[in-house]
Amino acid sequence: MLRLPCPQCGERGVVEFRYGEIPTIPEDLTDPAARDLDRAFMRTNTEGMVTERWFHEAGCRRWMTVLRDTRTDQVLEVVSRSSARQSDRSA
Amino acid sequence: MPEPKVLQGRRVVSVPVALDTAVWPANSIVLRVAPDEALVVGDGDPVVDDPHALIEDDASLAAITLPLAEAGDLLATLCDWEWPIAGEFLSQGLVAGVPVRVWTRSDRVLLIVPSSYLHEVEERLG
Amino acid sequence: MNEFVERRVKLRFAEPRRAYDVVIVGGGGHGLATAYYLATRHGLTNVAVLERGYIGAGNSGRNTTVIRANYGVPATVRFYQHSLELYQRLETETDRSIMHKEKGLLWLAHTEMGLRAERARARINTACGSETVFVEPEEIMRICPQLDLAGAGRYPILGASYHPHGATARHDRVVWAYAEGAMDRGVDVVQRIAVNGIRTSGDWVVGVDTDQGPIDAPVVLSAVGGHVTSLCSTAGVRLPIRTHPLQAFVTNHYQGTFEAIVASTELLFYASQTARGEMLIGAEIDRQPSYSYRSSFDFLASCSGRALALLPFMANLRILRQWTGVCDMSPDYTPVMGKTGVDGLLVTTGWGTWGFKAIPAGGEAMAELIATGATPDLIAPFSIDRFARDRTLADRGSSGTH
Ligand SMILES: Cc1cc2nc3c(=O)[nH]c(=O)nc-3n(C[C@H](O)[C@H](O)[C@H](O)COP(=O)(O)OP(=O)(O)OC[C@H]3O[C@@H](n4cnc5c(N)ncnc54)[C@H](O)[C@@H]3O)c2cc1C
Ligand SMILES: [Zn+2]
Repeated sequence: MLRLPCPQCGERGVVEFRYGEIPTIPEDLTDPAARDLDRAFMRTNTEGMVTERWFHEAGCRRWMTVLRDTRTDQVLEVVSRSSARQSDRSA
Repeated sequence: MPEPKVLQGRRVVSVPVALDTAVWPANSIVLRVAPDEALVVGDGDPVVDDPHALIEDDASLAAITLPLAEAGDLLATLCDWEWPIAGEFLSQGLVAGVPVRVWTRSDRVLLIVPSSYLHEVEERLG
Repeated sequence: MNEFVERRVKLRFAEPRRAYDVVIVGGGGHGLATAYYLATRHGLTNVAVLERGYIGAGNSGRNTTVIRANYGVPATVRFYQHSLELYQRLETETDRSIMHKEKGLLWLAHTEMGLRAERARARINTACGSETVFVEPEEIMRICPQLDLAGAGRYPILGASYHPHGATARHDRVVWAYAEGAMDRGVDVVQRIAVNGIRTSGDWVVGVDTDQGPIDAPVVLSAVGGHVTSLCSTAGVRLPIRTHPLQAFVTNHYQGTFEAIVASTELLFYASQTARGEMLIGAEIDRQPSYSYRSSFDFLASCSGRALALLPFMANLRILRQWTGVCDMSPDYTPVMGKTGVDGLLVTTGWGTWGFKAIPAGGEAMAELIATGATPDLIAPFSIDRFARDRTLADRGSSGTH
C-alpha cells in the first residue's frame, strides 16, 4: 500500500488519508463557463510527478502537500505543511 | 481484556489560536485531536477566547486502558504504524481499521475509540 | 496438450505502413473489437491497430471477466444488455472459442438500504430489457450453497438481486478472437510500436507520431485504457478521466463447484470460479490516482477478510497470484465515447473497472461511428458533451469494479 509521510504523525498507509487534487486548468481557457466545466470534471491525470494535497483524516486532521511520481507511487517530498498547522504553531 | 470506559467530557471546536490559548478546567485531561478541535475529559468549563466556539457535552468516545508493557505487542499486531513508547503522547490513526487515538502515558496506554466502533476493536483485541 | 489452446490461434502481426484510413491506438479489447467490426460490418480494412506492448497487455488481459448488464441507469442497462447478447453469440460470430459461460450473478444485500437498492435494480433492469430478479435468502442458498447467510455474525445476507445471464469469458481469448478476425480481413495489427502523440492540423487530425516515425490517418481512435489523458493531451483534448489501480487475485484449485458469480457491493468484493477451478476475487480500486502496477499485501489482507465473512470455505485455500491494472475512471462511472473537439479524433474510454463486458458493443458502436460519421443512438448518452450539458449518468452503485 502507498504510504505517506505525515509531518505530524509519521508514515501512514494511504487508507488514513483523503485525496485533495490541486486543479490545473489550462491558462488559455478563458471563458468562465469553460473554466468551471474544466474545474469540475476534467483531469490532467499526470503520468509522472504531481504536486497534490492529502488530508490526514484518520489522524491529525491536517492537510499536507506531497510530491509523488504517479508511475511508481514513490513519494519524493513532503513539500509543506498545511496553513492550519502553521497557524496552530504560530500561536 | 479491560472493560472499556465511556469518556464523559466536552468537545470544543474553535479556531486554532483560541484553542492554543484556552484555559482548561483544573484536573481535566485535554486531548488536542485536530488544530481546530480539542476533547476535554473531566468536569468544569473551558474558557475559550472565541465567540463562535462550539462547546458541547460529548460521551461518544470510550477508552480501553492497557498496561504499557502489554500495549506494545498488542498494537504491533493491530496497526501498521509506529507509536511512541516514551513520554506523554497523543497519536492518532487506524488501529484494526478503526480511527483510534492512542494516548501514551508513563505507565499505561489508553485507546480512545468512537463508541460506535468499539466492538470492532474489542473483537480484535480478543 | 494445454486445455486452453486446443485450437492454435493464428496471429499474424504486421509491419506498420506510412498511411491508413483509420489508426486505432491501443490493442486492448476495445481497439481490436473496433477494428474487427470495421472490417466485418463496414468493409473498412485499410486500418491499423498500434499496440505498444503486446495485444491484451493492458486491462483486457488483467480483468476478472465478469459480463453483466445489471446497471442502474436505463441508458447503460440497454448498452450493456446489448453487449451481453453480443457476447452470447461471439463464438459463432468469430468462429473462435472464448470459453463463454453463463453463471448467474448474485448481488447480496446486508442492510435495509442494500435491500432497497437491489429491489430497485431488479425493477430498473427488467423495465430496460435485462433480466434481474429479487431473491430471498432460501433462493440465495440454492444458487450458492457456500455462502454463510449469517455473514460471520456481522454482515447477514438479507436478500439479493439475481441476474441469471451474468457470465464470464476467457479474457485473452476475446482479445485474440477479435485480433485474428480483424487480421484475417486485412487489418494491420502492429505490436511494439508506441504512439507518442497525435498530429493535428488546425482542428483536424492528420495522423500519429510513433517511435517508428509518423503515420498518416484522417481518423484516429484512442483506445489506450488508463493512458488516455496523456495521449489525448497531445492534441489539446481534456478528458474527465482519472487513472486508478485495481487489484485482483486467485487462489489455488477449489475442489467443489462454485457456479455463480457472487458480489457484495456493501463489502466491496466479488468472487467467481475460473475454468481451472481457482477462486478469483476482486474488490475496490486503490484510492490514489496512479499508474503503478504494484500490488499490495494490505489489499490481500483486507479483501480476503471481507470475502471470508461471506464465503468461509475459502479459509482453506491459498492465494496463488495477485496482479494490478490501471483503470480509466470517469466521474460518473459511465463510459466516455465518441467525438472530441478535434475533428477525426475519437475516444473510447471511461471503461474504468467495468469495460470488459462492453468490448463487443463498444467496438461495434465505435466502428459504426467511424464508418458512418454519425454517433449511434446506443452510445449517444455517453458523449463527452454530457458534462457540459448537465447530463451525467451517475451510477457508482452499479460499477462494482467488475
Ligand atoms: C483487476 C481488474 C479487474 C477487472 N474486472 C472486470 C470485470 O470483471 N468485468 C468488466 O467488465 N471489466 C473489468 N475490468 C475492466 C476492464 O478490464 C477494462 O475496462 C477493459 O479491459 C478496457 O479495455 P481497453 O481496450 O479499453 O483497454 P486496455 O485493455 O487496457 O488496452 C489498452 C492498450 O493500449 C496500449 N497502449 C497504451 N498507451 C499506448 C500508446 N501510447 N501507444 C500504443 N499503445 C498504447 C496498452 O498497452 C494496452 O494494451 C477489470 C479491470 C481490472 C484491472
Ligand atoms: Zn497526521
